[in-house]
Amino acid sequence: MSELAVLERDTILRFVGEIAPDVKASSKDDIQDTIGLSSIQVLELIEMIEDEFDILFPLNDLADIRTVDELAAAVKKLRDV
Amino acid sequence: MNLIERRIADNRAAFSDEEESLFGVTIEPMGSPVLGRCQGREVILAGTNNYLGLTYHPELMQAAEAALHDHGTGTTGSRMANGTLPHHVALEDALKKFYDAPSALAFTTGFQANLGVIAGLCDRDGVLLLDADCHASIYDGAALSGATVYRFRHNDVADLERKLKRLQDQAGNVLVIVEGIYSMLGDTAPLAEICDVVQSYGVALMVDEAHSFGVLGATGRGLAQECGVEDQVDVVVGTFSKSAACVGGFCVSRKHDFSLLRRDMRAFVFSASLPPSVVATATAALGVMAAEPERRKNLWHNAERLYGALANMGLEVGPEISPIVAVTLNDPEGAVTAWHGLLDKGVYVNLVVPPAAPDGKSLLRCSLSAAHTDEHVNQMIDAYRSIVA
Ligand SMILES: Cc1ncc(COP(=O)(O)O)c(C=O)c1O
Repeated sequence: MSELAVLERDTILRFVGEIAPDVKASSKDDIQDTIGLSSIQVLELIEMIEDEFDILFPLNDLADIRTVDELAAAVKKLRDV
Repeated sequence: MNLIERRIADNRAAFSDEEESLFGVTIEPMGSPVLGRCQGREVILAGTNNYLGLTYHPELMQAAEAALHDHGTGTTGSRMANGTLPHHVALEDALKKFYDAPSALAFTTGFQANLGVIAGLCDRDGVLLLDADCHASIYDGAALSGATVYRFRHNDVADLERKLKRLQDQAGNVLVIVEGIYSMLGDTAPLAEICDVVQSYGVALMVDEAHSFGVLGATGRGLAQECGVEDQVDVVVGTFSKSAACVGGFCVSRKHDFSLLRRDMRAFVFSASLPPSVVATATAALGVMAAEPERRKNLWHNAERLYGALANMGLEVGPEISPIVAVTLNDPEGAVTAWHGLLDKGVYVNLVVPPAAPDGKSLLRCSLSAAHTDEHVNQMIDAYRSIVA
């Protein structure tokens, strides 16, 4: 499913670029460990995603998400329901 | 390396010796709520959350001594077992009277009150909507409950409403949580507007008044009283660790029989109750809060003076006058230097560095006390002026 979430992935990468302009992030990267977003920056990213896609993103889901691709897949799932 | 050794090594790598040494800073009390000895010198304590300055109040100390003498050092049991003494019932009765509310429960800390109340109210079917800047204990209670957790932008009523609208079909399971005064920047929640929205969607509202209890409202009940919306708040959580000058947490509700829910509050059931001396102190503090309203007045007088002076110096202070006066600085190293500079001038404030402070910024956080005199506040102002210059 994650390959299909292209729009979500590209949007998230754009937001990551706004939050951490110095990092060259790839969608396979671990958002915190590799890209280096702090837990507060991750929450900022979630706010941007919620606004952009007009969804509610449960913080509970963050526990299982490591990479941008995984986040994109979760966002797509929320948009599809 | 086993798990514990690895975790220790990770932390050793992540924190500088400087940060580690700051964590170990001790403050030796000096017989006054606002004076102490820190790093070998006498300082004005301007970062203690001792809003009403009651830590050496004779009535509180006498109550503590008498209870200690007559009833011993501890209860050795949970409230649900042998840990309910007449003192605990008296404290809850005093809370009901203070809040003019039918239900009150005392917990061992404010942190536990949040864990107990939130996880007691919500289970996996629950939906929590938290202000983004809520305290760690609220987030932890939310995680513990198993409920679905969403946050809305800090103090953004439009964002809250947008989210409530999407949750309309689950309204019966939703609990919104905000704070009275937010602990880092000292700003208050727009509670009247929040109540309007919460009422129109028919969802439940909890307010953590940890920093506003004793500080706001005609009789010190907090922001809900200040805004005249106490009848629209379903449950208030608070702590005795700040204005009440001891330790312990509580919840108060205008719903009859709210206390029946204590069975579902594991932090209430499975932790020893407060010792008699502390319960007696908290009860006495409620009495003093009611009897000495001038303390609140003096606190706000000090808040206005410090906030005004720092704003005039061009420092970036919080959005509104508050007993918490936080100056935002952009770089952590500068903040550490400034913190040492204030200490050199005899003023102790809280240093908050990332990630505890948002956006990579740092805070020099002052909390004022009713016990600060005009001279103390002058000295704080001079100290800040010296680090700006
Ligand atoms: C908003 C808020 N809630 C709860 C707590 C926890 O209170 P206590 O110190 O009694 O555990 C604090 C204090 O640190 C707080 O700031």
